[in-house]
Amino acid sequence: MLNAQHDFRGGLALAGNKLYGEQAATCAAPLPRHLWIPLHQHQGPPAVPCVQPGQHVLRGDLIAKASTSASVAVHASSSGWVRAIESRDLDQGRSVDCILLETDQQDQARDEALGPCYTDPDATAAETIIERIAAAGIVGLGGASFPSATKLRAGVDRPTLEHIILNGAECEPYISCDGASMLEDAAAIIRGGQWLLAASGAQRLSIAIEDHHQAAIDSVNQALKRSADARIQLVQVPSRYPQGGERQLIQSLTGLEVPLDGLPLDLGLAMFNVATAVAVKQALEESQPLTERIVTVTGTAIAQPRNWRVRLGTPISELIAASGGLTHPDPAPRLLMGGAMMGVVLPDKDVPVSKGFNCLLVGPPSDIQPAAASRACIRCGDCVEVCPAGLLPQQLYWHSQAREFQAAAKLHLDACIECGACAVVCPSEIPLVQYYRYAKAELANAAVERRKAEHAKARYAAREKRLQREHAEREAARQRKQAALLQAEQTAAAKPADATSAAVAAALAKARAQQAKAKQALPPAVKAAQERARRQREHNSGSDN
Amino acid sequence: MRIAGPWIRPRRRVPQVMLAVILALLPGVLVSVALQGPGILFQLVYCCIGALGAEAGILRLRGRDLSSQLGDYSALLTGVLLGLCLPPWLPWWQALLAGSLATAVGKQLFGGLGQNPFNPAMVGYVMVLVSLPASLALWPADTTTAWNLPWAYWLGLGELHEVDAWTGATPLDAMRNGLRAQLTVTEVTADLSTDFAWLLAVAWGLGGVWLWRRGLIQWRIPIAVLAGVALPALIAQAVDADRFASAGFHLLHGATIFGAIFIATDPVSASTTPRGRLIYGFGIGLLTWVIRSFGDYPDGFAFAVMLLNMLVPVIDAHTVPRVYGQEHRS
Ligand code: SF4
Ligand code: SF4
Repeated sequence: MLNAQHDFRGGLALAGNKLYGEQAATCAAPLPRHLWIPLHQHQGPPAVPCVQPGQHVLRGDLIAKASTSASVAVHASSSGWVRAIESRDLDQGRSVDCILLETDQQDQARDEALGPCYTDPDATAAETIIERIAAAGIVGLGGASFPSATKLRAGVDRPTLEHIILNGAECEPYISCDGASMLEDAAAIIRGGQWLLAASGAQRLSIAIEDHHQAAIDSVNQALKRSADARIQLVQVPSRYPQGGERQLIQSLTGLEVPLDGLPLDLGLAMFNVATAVAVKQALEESQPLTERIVTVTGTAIAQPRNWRVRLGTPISELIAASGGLTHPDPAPRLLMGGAMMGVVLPDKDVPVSKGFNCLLVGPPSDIQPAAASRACIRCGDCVEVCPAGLLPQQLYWHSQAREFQAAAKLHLDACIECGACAVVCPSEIPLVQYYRYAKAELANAAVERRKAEHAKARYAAREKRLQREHAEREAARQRKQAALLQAEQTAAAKPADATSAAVAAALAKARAQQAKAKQALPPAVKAAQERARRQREHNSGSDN
Repeated sequence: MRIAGPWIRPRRRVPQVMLAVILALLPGVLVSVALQGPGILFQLVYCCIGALGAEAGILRLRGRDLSSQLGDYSALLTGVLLGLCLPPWLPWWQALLAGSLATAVGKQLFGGLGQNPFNPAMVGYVMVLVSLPASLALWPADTTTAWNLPWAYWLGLGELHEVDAWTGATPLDAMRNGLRAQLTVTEVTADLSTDFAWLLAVAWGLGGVWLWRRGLIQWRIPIAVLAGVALPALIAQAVDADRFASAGFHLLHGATIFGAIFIATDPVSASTTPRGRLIYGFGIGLLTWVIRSFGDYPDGFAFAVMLLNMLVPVIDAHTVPRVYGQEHRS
């Protein structure tokens, strides 16, 4: 076991608040009558359903296919009948199509749902492993839900990927699902890590755990000893928020900073959550897709806070009921997905658990929500001290508030990881992160508008060019014709002896004579009309001046 | 409605911060009273009444909510800080005036809390200093006289008679006048035998350490101010020990410690970047020493703070920290 040799900037110590501790074992949450399995529970485009209402499926059956290489598959979380495809609110303003599965309560699993089981990482081709991970619908279970196979593929394309980090440094107070994973599935985490090493060709794997988490450290350490894999090491990192942030953890472990607009891969690194490693192991060795995850159900309004092993698609109302219901009489407790720092508000208790759902935090509004009224910024700079991104949060706030988005962008608003460290120390209780999100959205909008305007401009320029070209072509054609005509006349004049030329010249002369005669032969009425028209034109142009 | 996290209450809010700073002033206030008599307590009261009154009046004129803004205790803190800067024998109405100018001109004129480019207490102090310079010399000659003024005077009911016999020069005054009269530093210091200024400096320092330990002020500005005073003083002392007061003398006298901890750290008007704060603090210290050594005012702290306040936008703009992942500047 090692201690982290480096440290990240800023950050702050937060009270642990792991209400449900790491004591009781994680239990399977009761299987509900209905599961709403979202088609979009990952970054990238939604999956496309491939089942019909009425169809009976087993646990592990594919019910929606990945739509692109950046999308992931979705599988039935239990056995039962597909009833409908309905839309549900997942979080603020994000409505997502879900497959409604009526469970038959038999919970039958499909054997070898993904094909044959594998046993030896080193005897399996990297591409086979990655394909299996993709087929299992695995995404990062830390909350960001990035498709794991996509991450690995990007790594394979770059021969430099050499170090994989398993993130067991829980970022947030209240969340303990990764802790539960490390306590109960330590061997599977290491096994999953070995599969990831084989898939990526990396030579080194670090499992990072916060130093206050002694039980998890012991558990992983023992499993590590049993595995006797010299490529894998356990690294203890200080418990300081946001230690579990990808960039902060990388800095703690390696002392390196991920370039501002780069990826960990640029440093030869890839990071996976510890629970993701467990899912990888299950996909390869048990041929089971991702159909459940551990969810921490906690908060002061929950009677018996604890960790549950939850089937994807389970409505949170079921989890609340399983956890002893609410202790708080408030009819509308605040429901948050994620922890107290970065969690997002959920619209109601119908929200189903999706792959990135790590923690349900429930509390009376008075407890969880800070006082609504914020005071003026007193420029105390506390926010500057804690910002792990090295930003000047108060200046970003001033600019965002004044709608000076470009100024905020110049101060690297885009480097803000929205960790909320600044907002939690702000003595004026300014919802800083909210301002940053707003400013980021405005900047993104502006970028879209700019692109549109550029397109329009480019189109206009192209059209102008085309018109000019056509004009030039017509002009050139006309000149060519004129030149040809002129040459013809000249040749005719120069070579009267030539019979054909003479004939041509004679014909031309005749035609001209006829034209002249026709002009003279115009009836007087027509001539008068022509004259009137000419005068009229002159008059018009005169009055214009 | 709040839609983004964090969903945890901050550990301290503005009112608590302001109250804690006021609390940290307590040891210093007690020592001041012991050394300079009860006058200082009256000044505190007058300044606070002035500061709160002016703030309330303007808030009402601007149609703002009184309770939340008065309730942040920032005006109270301004009053207290100002009261501690004024001589204990200043006539009551001047203290009242200084207090009201501090919040009215120093703060509300710029748009209220968070908007003021200058430290409000220093604005009040400097306005009185410039318009009523004689009054600012009303320091008691010694501890005995400090307690001997009739209470009627402090209550604003009586006049101050025989001023010259009662008041005395502050050590900084004495030093400046002495040096101008071609005395050496040693000679002047010998005259200041009953000088208990260090006691006061220690008391302020205690409050400062407490604030720092509780994370209510950061070390950068105070340390930089002290360095800004001490460094040039040390150099000058090395060059000509007879004509320049020692670094120790500068640190222990006048507003140095008090100002470094309680005035320069006013967040609103100070620089906000980590490196900027070092520059800002050092600038204040340096200017203070320059004004004391070469200027017309015995203690230049207030002017130094206000001058550096003016430079804050420039300092901030040039000290933006390196962002995570940004190329190291070479
Ligand atoms: S912590 Fe809040 S009050 Fe202090 S500078 Fe930052 S935004 Fe302003
Ligand atoms: S939310 Fe952004 S600005 Fe605030 S501390 Fe985190 S990274 Fe810094």
